[in-house]
Parts: sequence; C-alpha cells; structure tokens
Amino acid sequence: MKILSRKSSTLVEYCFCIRGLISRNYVDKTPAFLNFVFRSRSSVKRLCISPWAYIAPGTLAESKLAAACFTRPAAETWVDPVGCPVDNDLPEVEVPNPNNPGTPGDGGTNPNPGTPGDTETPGDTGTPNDGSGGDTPGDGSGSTGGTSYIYNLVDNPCLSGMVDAIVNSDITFKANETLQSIFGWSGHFNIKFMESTKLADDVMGNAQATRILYDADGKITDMDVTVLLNVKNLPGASREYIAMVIAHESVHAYLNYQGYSYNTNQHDLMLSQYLDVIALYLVDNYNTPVQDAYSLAMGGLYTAFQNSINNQTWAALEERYKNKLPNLNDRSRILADYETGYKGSKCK
Amino acid sequence: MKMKTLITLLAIFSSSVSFGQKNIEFPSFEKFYSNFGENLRYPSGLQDEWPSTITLMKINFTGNGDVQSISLSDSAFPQFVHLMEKMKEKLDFNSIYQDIKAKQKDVKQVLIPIHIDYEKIDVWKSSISSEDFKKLYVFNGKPISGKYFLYPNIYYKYVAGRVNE
Repeated sequence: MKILSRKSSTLVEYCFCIRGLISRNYVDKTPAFLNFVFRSRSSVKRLCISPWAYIAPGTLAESKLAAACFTRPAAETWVDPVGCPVDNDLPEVEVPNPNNPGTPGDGGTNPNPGTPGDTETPGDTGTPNDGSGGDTPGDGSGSTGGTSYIYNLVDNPCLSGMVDAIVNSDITFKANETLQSIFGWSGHFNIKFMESTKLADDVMGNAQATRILYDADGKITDMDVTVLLNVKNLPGASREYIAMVIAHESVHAYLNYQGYSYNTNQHDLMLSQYLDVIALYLVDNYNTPVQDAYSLAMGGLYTAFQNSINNQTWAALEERYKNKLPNLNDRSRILADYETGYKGSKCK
Repeated sequence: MKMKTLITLLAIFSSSVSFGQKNIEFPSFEKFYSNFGENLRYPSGLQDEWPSTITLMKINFTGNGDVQSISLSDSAFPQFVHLMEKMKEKLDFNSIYQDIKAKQKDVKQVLIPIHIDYEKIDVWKSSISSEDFKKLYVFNGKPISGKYFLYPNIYYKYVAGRVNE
C-alpha cells in the first residue's frame, strides 16, 4: 500500500491522494476524518479528499497519516475537492494497515423479547450517499455496504459542523465504549447522521437501527443506525441544545448496540443510567453550567418512566442528582432558553 | 430426488444450524461468515415483502481453487440472487476451498446453506414456507445431484429496529 499526500500548513486542512494497493480496512474511515470512500484493493486507486476535510488531532487517523503528509503546495495545485493535484513528483510513503482497530468484540448483551412500539419503514443503510437529505434512511437496495463507519450526511452547515464536532470529540458511553470505538472503526457497526424536514416540529431528532444482525447464538454481529436531525428547527437553537440532541440520539444508537432494541423503553434506561453521559458531555465540551447541562440532558426524557415511574423511582433520581437537577419549572425554562438560542452559543 | 436423500440432506442442514460463526473444523468459516454479515443488506424488494431466505449456494471450483461458477437454489428470491451477485466479489471463496481441500481432495462443488430470518420489530416476523423447502435443493428446476461438500451454514436474523425519538 502506498500513499501520496499533501498537507496544509495547519493541522486542519489536508488533501490526500492515494494510489496503490491499499487494504480496504484502512482508508475508508468516517467522513468526519476523511472525506472519501475507498472501495477496492484489486486495482490501482487514486483518490482525493476535499481540502476542508480535517483529521482530528490525536486520533488514530491522524497518527497514521501524519507521517505521510507534506508541506502544502501552491493553492492552485491542490484546492480541488474533486480531482487530485498532479502528484507524480510526490514521494511515495508506505502506510501501515491498522488492522481495523477498535472493532467491538461482541454486540454486548441482548435482552431481546418484544412489545409494541413505534416503527417506521426500516430503510436500510446502503451506501453513504443514498437518501442523503431525505427523511428515510435510504433504501440500501443494490448496496452491499460493508465499508461504512460514521457518516455525516447532513447538508446544513450548522448541523453538519455540530455532528463533526461531536464525532471528533467523541462521546463516552461507559469505560472503553465510545461513539468512535463502537461505530468509528468497524464496518460491522455503522452510524449515519442525516437531516430531515419531515420530522414533527416537536421532534428534534430520532434514531433507528435499520439493520441489526443476530447470529445463531443471538449475539449482535452487525448494525446500521440512522440518526435524523430536524433541519427545520435545530439550526435556530444554541450549539449546546443541538449537541444535546445529537448526544441523545447517539445514546439511542449505543443502546441498540447494547441489545436494547426490543421491549425496553430506551428513555427509561437513558434517564436512569445515561443522564450523566449527556450532561457531562455538555459540561466538558461547552462549559455548560452543571444545572443547565442536566436540564438539557433531561430534554426528551419527559416520557421516561411513563409506565413504570413511581414516587420511589423519582425520589431516587432526585437524591442521586441532588443540586444538579433543577425543579421542573426551572428545567423547562432552561431548556426553552437553549432551544430558542436565547442562552448558549450560536450555531453558525 | 428421492425423499430419503432429501431428509438426509435436511437433517445435515438442520444439525449444522447450531454452528454459530466459529467452527474449528473449518478455520476460514468465521471470516467468511463475518464478511458475509458485514456486506449483507437486505434488498428493498425483500424488505417490502419481508420474507425469510433459505437457500443453498452452490460453488463450483476449478482444480486450482478458482471459482468457476456460483449459483443459488430456486428457493432464493430474485432480489436475493441479485444481491449475491454483488456480494460475491467481496467474499473470499478461495479460503473456503482451502478448508475443504484439507478435508477432501477431489471435491469441486460446495454447498453453503444460507438462512436469513427477517424481522421488523413490532410489525413483522418472517417465516419459511414449505414451498421454500421444496425448492431448497432444486437448481434451475432440477434437483441437485452429484458429489458435493456441505460447508457450515450461514444464519442471520436480520432485524429492523424501532424509531426512537
């Protein structure tokens, strides 16, 4: 495998041209890192990413590719999002195959059984480009997939940037299990972020595992998750609010990965076990005040415990979060402030 | 095909259903199975109809292990046949050949049972019809005959989950 590349003078702009025999496991990473998809190892390939794509500092992608980067050439020779610059004179650099790092070993527990709920057309995730901008996750027909990981297919610049930011900063669901470690490196577990104009006004986003494969032992081996973001409403909200929605939907994806696809109310689980994940993400990444962060994290969880809640359960939660969780009135006000963009930072 | 033979073949098939993805006897199976799952996307036509798929993949090898032809038995839906046409490029058949060659030197034809159940949570669970079984060992209208090697089966339950808001 050989890689020819050029790099800008800063860490945030790259253009790669790749040719040679490259293992398919290597290059086609999430478009949050590299905006191209690599399909075959059977013939010579020559690819380029758009110049505005970037590799997050400290990621594996960066550490593997940084050594193959070069000083940025004159702009006119490389600012071409489609074609590669003339690169015959570039030195060739051998890039090792990371051997699919971070592949989750198994699909986690599988609680199974099923009870009623809401379901839409599954719409399989096929190639990353199918159905982009639509409201169903694409039909996947004809696609044999297999090399997709985390796809950001959102067109709206504000939302797209937020998805990138969250993917790059990563979300830790629990020790050693993050958005990137589960969905970022394995072709077996894929997540696709898309925007939608058809979600109801009060629905800011949703997540659906459009494809879950169980083996004969009932273990989850593969999964495609599609996250839809409401492009009508979200861009007017603050970045903190949008981040909360994306994190919330990512937790849904994670719960599917954990096997909670059937009768479990995922919002119950989220409220009892993952409120901290969302709230602390906001605190750590947006310096959101703790009470605001927990109020935001509660957004979308008002129906949690609808069937099973009792005073004892709620009392236990209040005891656990104590001063972090304002009362309902204050929470609602805080949530509305961030939703309208009155509080927090503007999304550009 | 005589009923006795059919029952024997079905017995072999059903006994192999419990293999899961690991198989000590066939070292390449795990990778093949994993690769198959990674690339499996039920075609939209099949998603609309939500059927199970149960079929046999027949692979003819040349003497040096190259794939001469791949076909599916008549129980496979046309959309699934089309899907396999695309998927086959991504599957490593040569390692299967090596697995089999280690066991039986002169085998050139291999059968891989494929069984996929489809479920859309809360909406639909597919099942296999008797008609599927009738066609399971029939290729282009003719019952299978000759010498074959039966490779471990591929089983997946293919589930479309709920929309969570």
